[in-house]
Amino acid sequence: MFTALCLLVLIMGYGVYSHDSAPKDTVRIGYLANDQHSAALAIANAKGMFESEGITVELQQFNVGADIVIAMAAGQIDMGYVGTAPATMAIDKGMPVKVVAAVNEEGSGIVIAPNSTINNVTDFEGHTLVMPSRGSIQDILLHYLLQQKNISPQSIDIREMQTSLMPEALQSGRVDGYIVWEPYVTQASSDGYGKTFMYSGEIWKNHPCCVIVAGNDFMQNHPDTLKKILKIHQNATDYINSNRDDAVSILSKQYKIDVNTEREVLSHIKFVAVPDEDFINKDLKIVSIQRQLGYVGHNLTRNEIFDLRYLP
Amino acid sequence: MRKTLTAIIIPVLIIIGWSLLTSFNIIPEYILPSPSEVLNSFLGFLGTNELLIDTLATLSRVITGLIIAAAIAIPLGIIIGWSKKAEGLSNLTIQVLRPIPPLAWIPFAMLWFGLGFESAVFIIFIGTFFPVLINTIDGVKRINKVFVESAYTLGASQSQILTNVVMPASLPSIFTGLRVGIGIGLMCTVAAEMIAVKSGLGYLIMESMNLIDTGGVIVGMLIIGIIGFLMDYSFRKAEKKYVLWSGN
Amino acid sequence: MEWKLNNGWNMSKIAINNVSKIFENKGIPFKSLDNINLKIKEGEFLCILGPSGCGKSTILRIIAGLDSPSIGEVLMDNEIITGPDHKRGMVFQEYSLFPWRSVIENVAFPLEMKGVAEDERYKIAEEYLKLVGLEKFKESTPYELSGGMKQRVAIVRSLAGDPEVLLMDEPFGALDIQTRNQLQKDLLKIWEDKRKTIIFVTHSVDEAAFLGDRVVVISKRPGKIVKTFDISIKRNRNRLDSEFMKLKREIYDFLESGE
Repeated sequence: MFTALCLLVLIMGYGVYSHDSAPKDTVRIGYLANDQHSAALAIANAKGMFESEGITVELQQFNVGADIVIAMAAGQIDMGYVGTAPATMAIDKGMPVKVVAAVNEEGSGIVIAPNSTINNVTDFEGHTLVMPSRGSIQDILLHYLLQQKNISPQSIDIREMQTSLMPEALQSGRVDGYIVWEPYVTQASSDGYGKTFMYSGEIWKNHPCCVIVAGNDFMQNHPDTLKKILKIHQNATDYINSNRDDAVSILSKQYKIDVNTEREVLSHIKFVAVPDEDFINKDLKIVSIQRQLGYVGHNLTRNEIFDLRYLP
Repeated sequence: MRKTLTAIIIPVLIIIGWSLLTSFNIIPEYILPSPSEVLNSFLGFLGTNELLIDTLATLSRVITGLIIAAAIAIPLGIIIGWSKKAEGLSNLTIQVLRPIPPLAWIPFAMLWFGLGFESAVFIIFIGTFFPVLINTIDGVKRINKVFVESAYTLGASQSQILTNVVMPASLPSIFTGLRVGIGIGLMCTVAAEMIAVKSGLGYLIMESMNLIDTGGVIVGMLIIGIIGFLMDYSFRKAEKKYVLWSGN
Repeated sequence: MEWKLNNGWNMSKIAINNVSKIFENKGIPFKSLDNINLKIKEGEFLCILGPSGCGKSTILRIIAGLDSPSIGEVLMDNEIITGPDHKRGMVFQEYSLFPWRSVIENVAFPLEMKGVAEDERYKIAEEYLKLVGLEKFKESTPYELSGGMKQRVAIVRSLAGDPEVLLMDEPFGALDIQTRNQLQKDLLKIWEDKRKTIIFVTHSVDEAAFLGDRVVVISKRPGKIVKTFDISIKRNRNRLDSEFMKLKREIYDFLESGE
């Protein structure tokens, strides 16, 4: 009896103490699991770019963008690679965060079954299409697409589903298509259970996707560190664009995907570090769509969203 | 009257504490919305009929799941509680399956039942099945031998004993199992409604989370809590009526 | 009836032949009954008397078919008893009425098992309740009855099963003396009316002497039959009667000497 009690206490203690508490002066950066849009972060980490600048980072994985911004608001992380949609929703709700850099444009796509009879967007009417979650950039893209084609969202059975369940759903015929981020789009083709119906770049050319958000506290208290990190981000982004082969090799190991598929995945993502005028304008357009859909309450101005003073 | 007053003391204190915490910005609104924020979200939902639809959707899934679970678990539990052979055959399997969280069954749910209602019911079924089963087995095992032996000497066959003695004698435990089961069923709503449903309280909570609408999350939580309370209350009333004798 | 003729005159309703019972407690076997031989006549009122733990309940359970002998066999009407059924009804010391059924539903239970229609079986059950004066309580729940009332209902419930043999395991043990004496009188009345074979287990000398045609004394564990008293005192026995008191003295003396 006594030994059992001791064992219990030991197990509890292990749970309490193995909780990773970051040492001071660590920058905690959040990112989405299995989302290659944050490849720049992976490259920077793999190539020791943070260490070279004397910065200790702790990378934390999340499943949904909303979790990243909430964690930031709660002070659990300092920065995050996250979709622009959750970022603007957070700012709309008054969370003390800002977009400090761009991460990528495009990089999503609609997947259908290999033998699917769907040829145009209108063919989706009366069929089932799933997306990762309401409020995501994929949600916005879908609405953008349907608006362009003058199709009422009501005519399609649009549902939400975790990304991990999507392949199975498609293969078993439960859904007729899904919209998702890379690498899931390319993987469907390379693994043979799907084919790409449309890349998000075809839906909306150069549309903003992910951005870097930082907490106001972090920006105010560690402006130099932030600047250094954004410089690293720029370097890593450039590296992916100019040293594609090496980047492919590193990332394919990182994401555990074969080299050819990885190369294909990267070809559908446009990595940018500095949001240009076009990026900003398109981002504001996204906000207006969010307003239409009721995800956002105010018409956010560019200054409410962006603080680009820390970019190199 | 007195009972009601004592019962609401703590909830009232919580609401007061909650208002204080949020009004002086001790906890920012986007982490914990103030009671008035939540009220606003609630009124917003009311306007669109959404709450009613979601509540009915969740209720129908939970109740269906519970009924199917009970329909299988009660007879199965009676057999396992009654027959040592049946127990020996099934015990290992039950004990291994039981701790698996209903969430883990989601991929299978989708594979076997597709999207929507059937999948959700399946997840709820998994959650409610084991409490009902285990309590039924327990109830059968705890039956006073004298009832069974009397029944034999009164000319009852084994199957007659199962329906006329074992079943009513284990009813109190079965009721407990159902009460626990439905509580767990409600807890599974969020997991159950992850498989591409379009309505439901769990769905409401998840959506609110995705849209960073903490007020909506709390509305969903509160409603689930109230439903749980009402169901528990009704069960206890039914118990009192049908198993009045068990208190003696 | 002729085919039941067995050993000439003695038609044994129940024959216990060389029965021993061995139980296991934590892997260690112990003998509960040792070579019991007993023949019980039809219509007889037999009392089995012995101290607690002597195995007398075990004998009853073996006759009922709820337990089986380790050695030997028990026959009823010359057939080996293999399990319990309504032919050997049993009344337990523990309160055994089904608490989820009303009094009349309890009594109607054996009839329901036989397949008797609802109206019919409630009519019959009520008649049985009249036997013990409890017809007014037919809709009550067992919870509402006193101990004595509960046992009365238990007895008529067993009778409703139309058993040939009634086995009673210290049925009045939990009751006070006055109630006990009253129930003994009620039981005798029923027995004289229905003439069932009754095998009655008790640890009370007074009770055994008052009720039985024959009293069989079982020793402490392992239980053996050590003495049989044939009682010839006429029925409507009077406890103050000198003959009765002499009988009790005899039994007490025997028990004491045997210590």
